[in-house]
Amino acid sequence: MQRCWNVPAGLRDAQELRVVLAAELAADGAVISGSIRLIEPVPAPDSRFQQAYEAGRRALLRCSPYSELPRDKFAQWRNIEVVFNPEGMVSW
Amino acid sequence: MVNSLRRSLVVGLPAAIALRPFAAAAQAPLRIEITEGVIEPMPFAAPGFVPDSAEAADLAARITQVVIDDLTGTGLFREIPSNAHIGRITNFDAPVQFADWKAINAQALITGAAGQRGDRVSVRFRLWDVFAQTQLGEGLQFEGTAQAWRRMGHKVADAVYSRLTGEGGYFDSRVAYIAASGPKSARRKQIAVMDYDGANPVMLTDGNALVLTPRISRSASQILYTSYEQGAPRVLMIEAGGGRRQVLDDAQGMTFAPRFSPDGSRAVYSASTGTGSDIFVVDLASRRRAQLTQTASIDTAPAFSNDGGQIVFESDRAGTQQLYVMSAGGGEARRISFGEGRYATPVWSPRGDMIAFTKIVGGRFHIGVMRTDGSNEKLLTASYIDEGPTWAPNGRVLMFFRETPGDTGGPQIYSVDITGRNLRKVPTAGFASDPSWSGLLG
Repeated sequence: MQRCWNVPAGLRDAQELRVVLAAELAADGAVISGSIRLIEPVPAPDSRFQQAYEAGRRALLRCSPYSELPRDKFAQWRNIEVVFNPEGMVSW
Repeated sequence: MVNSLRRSLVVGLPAAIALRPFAAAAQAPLRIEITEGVIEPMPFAAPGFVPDSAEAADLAARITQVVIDDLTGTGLFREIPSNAHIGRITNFDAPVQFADWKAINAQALITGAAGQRGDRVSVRFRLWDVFAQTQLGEGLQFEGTAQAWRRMGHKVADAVYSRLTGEGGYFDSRVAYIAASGPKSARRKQIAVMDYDGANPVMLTDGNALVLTPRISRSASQILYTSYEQGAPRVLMIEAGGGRRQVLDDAQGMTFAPRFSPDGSRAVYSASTGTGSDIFVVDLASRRRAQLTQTASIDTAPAFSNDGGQIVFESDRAGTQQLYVMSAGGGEARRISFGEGRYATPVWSPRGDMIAFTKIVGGRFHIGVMRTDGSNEKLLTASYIDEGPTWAPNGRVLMFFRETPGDTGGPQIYSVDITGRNLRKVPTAGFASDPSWSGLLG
């Protein structure tokens, strides 16, 4: 998924913008678009987290479907929480 | 269970599944940590804005191009050119076919329409997240005069930039500067003002007298500068539209290095006093003047903080040229620069978090930024001469001028963002120096 995550480096103090997104996947490994939501931090402290959330949402959707996931373990990966942590990636 | 997966490994989804121990609690969400991604300009598509009438076709195309140029110029976005588009937007209100834009990997899509009625132009636009298949923010509409059509494009780009980065925009703004022509030995210098991207340049002085350091007010309505037309340097104020000029302070002999307060009601400047120079402030309405420093040293290049409450300036009071901060009412100053070399021309970010400066060390010039307490110094550029930073309205980008050596050398204005990326030359007809960036025109 990292190849689909375009870290929002233009944001102020971008390295602080850690967000956690929850999403539901369909049995074919596709992310159900409407299921994606921000679960951390809630409420978002400022508007930059909205942009960080949207960057994470784009990453989830651009790499979807995750067809290599084992079908027989669908129950395990049906609900996911993805931490997007840019801490080590961007300097101010 | 969840915690067992929370390790700082970079994992893709399938790898996370493999790592996951036993599925005891099947309903617990699978947690994955992504610590690496890519940092690359976000690809966007901006198909030509739809003209409201056949006459508006040219206008719509030109406005679209301004939007594209503004966004790509930031280095944060990359345009997917129209010859790669699969879809076409021929009706601004028709539903967007997201699959067409997904197929070319556009992450953002800008759709727009433009119209012209007599001297009035209007533009409206919407911004879309292609992969989430959703509109980002509200659609907006701007109106203006036909002559100011470029501003309509800048306003659209400001709104898009703001929505995608969470920062304010900076495209609908003006820059005062010195336009220079002629040979190095007899350079003709004029006070000029242009759009942030070099368009619409206007000369405000005739070039007969030497002029220095134009400083534009945040509203872009007035410019302070230093002129030698009466022999000694004098700070003058001129309307940005041209016309009336006035001397800022008749009482002092030599005055220089002026700057406006953020609200435009006051100006700070230097005046020579005996052996050195001191810093003064003047209220522009009452012309009441106050002396803020009183030393035997050279105190100069004052600039207000973003809230108008403090002043940063350069002084050689400790032996070398360093940066100091004091209250806008004067009083004790505290030194904030302690690195090697000399520091000059400090400017406070309009966002209040940083100070940009010129640094001269080891025979090289740099543009740098530091926190307002002097910590976290970072040099963004290096060259033979890099000088005179000025902040974009959003505090994310700086302009400065770079001078090339030799008989044919001369200054050009550049921009760079505060991470040191995206160094670009600002197009001007001839040599140009001493940029001073206004606020957003609003």
